[in-house]
Amino acid sequence: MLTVLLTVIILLNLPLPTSMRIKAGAHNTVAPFQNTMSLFTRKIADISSSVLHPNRNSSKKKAMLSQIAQLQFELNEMKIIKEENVALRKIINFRNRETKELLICEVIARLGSDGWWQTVTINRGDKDGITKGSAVLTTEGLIGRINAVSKNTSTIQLITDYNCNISCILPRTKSFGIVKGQGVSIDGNTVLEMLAPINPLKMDYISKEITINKDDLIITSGLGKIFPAGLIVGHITKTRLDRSGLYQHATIIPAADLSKLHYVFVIKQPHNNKNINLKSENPDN
Amino acid sequence: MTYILMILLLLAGTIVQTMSPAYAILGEVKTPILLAFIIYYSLNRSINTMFVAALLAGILQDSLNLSPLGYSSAIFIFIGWVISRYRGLVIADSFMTPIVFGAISGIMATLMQALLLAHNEAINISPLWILLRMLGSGFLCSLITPIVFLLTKMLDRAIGNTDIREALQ
Repeated sequence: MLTVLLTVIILLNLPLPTSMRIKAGAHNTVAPFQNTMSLFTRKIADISSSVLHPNRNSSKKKAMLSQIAQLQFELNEMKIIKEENVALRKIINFRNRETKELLICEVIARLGSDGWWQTVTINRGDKDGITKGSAVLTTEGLIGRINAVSKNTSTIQLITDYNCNISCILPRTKSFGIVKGQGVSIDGNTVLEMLAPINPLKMDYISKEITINKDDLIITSGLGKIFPAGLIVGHITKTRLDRSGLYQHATIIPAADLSKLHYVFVIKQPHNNKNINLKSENPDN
Repeated sequence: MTYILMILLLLAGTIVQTMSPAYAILGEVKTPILLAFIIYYSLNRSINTMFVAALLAGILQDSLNLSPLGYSSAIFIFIGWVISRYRGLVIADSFMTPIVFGAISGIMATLMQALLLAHNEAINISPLWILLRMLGSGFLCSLITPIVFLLTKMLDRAIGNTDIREALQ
């Protein structure tokens, strides 16, 4: 018993790199089985789908989804460019205007192993060129970033996770703020709303001088250098002044439906950004 | 043989637990299969075997999420130890035992995890949401524990892994 207690105390006090190595080892052990099981369930779903709906072609659907995401991404960028005035163009030119390479991935598990964390696991990893810190989106908008990568799978930390902060901007007013996850991904569930207010995201530090309207769009500012600028995050539902009276808070509904993720797109990072240090990035951490 | 089977079962349990759906009405809690294994080992195996199972299960559970390593191990070991202390007072083979222990353990494990994570400022969820999670975990654990008991006992019998002395230690 003493040995076990000692082991737990050691485990709890392990330095972060050692702890990460142990986690990666366990992740790599489980990942192949997880992938196989996911592949198996996917095949069964595909077969049953082809039997029930013979006109649908899943590979065609995948290719089309990828194309839609690419076009949606480009369209969003174009919309923002249109909105910018001449004076801001100089600043906009600062950001990377290259077309980003999107990698289509399938979600194989949700909410980790205990449901405390807003994470999803995807079926692509290190061998597909995914790197830690890459932004992940759907056709509707940003969903999170890559938090851990193993050989064949990656873990995405959703924007609704309590530990996810994103530097964002309201394009209409050009005011900045920090969007923070609240640890729940569901919204609009009336039964749950009766038990507790469900707010997937909130935005802090918005200037108190500006007027915010309901349904105002929130996009990434790109200032944290983790998320590219111009990715749609969500829409404002309500605002209130902070208790200190210095700034405003806003409650946000994510643009993407995080409770029904099936296919997601990872923005592949250029090789020179491969060793990005998340801890040193501010405010996207 | 006990340990080989244990490792295989815990690995399988981890994969199934990770891939199990999380229902909003149950507080988005995952089906606590690993906890059900700990209850099984607490009631049917020696305390040392239970400790090893709890340690391994905790490492596996923490590795597949963002929890600090060791939290789940500590919780599993505590719950396993408490159940082991009281197993002399219950009939391990009764159908109700895994259901009752499952419900209580599910609630306790979620409460302990919430307290540990909140203390570490890793989560900031409303108390009502945590209460919903506790109830959800208790409900799911009371459902899954009898199934885990049945399957593990069948496997143990099939491979002749039924050392009565170990259970009585």
